[in-house]
Amino acid sequence: MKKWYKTIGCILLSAIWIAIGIRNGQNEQVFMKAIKICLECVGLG
Amino acid sequence: MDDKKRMKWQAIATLVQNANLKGFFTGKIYQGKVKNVCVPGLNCYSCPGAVGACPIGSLQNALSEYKFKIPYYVLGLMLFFGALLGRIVCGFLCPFGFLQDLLHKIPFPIKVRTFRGDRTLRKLKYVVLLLMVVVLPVAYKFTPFFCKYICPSGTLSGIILSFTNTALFAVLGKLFTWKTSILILILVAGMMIYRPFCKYLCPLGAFYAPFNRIAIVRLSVDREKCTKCHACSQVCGMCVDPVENPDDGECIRCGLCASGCPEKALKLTVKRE
Repeated sequence: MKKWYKTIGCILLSAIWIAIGIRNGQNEQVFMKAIKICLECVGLG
Repeated sequence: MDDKKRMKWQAIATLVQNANLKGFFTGKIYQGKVKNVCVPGLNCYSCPGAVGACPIGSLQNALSEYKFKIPYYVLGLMLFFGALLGRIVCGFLCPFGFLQDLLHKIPFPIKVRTFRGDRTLRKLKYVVLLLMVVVLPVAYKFTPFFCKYICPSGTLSGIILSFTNTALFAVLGKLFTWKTSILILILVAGMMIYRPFCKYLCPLGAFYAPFNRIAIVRLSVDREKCTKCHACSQVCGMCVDPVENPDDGECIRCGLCASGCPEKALKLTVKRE
């Protein structure tokens, strides 16, 4: 039963963190990075 | 679940995460709105097919951006995948894991199951996570160290892009040579050792590993049915003993042990005892 509490706790925490992140515009920041070719990632930068 | 069924899941997951198929021919990456969501597995967002963001790449970028103290959004998504699935992400959803599974099926004269220091070397992925994904990107702004110097998924993207995008092909240099060497090393090792990248280097696997203990999807052992024949640990590519430790962080939840158990004492389930 304790493990269920931990699992549910983690999922709730993740939901809170995602909500805080979206409120701070962090999803847009991820988007801005992901739509450009990352030169470091592909070995050019 | 047998291996063939799992491979179907892996193929579907790879296809879904790389659904921008025309990108492979045009050399242009997908720029739609879905890209602000991280995918669960290691799939470079610079891959022409990628429709989502790589969690490890996004985490490094978020950490290296000075205005973000804590990257809540990316960490929240990673925590969600971890708590829900644990390392089942590695076994079923990761495209690079799928590639390594295919590679290991190639008949190669030398197949190494384990070696001296294997377990110790597996701790390296935690060092990679801490040092190259967290510490160095925070210390040196705007440099995603893991992506830049190690990530083989990114190198694969670079190879695909350089074939289709002549402008990129013209600027390939020393870094590309370095990264391609690492990729080749991992691919060759992958034919000899089962999933060498997942075992020794993958920071995403290192992040998900502790969640095997609490994830909703877990490996259940029926102790009454188990005869301790160890058939499960003999078929396990990750060299885990699922009876001794079903929540081992090294277990990628592929389910091979469950299908290899003659007593059907093991199964992937969401139920708790």
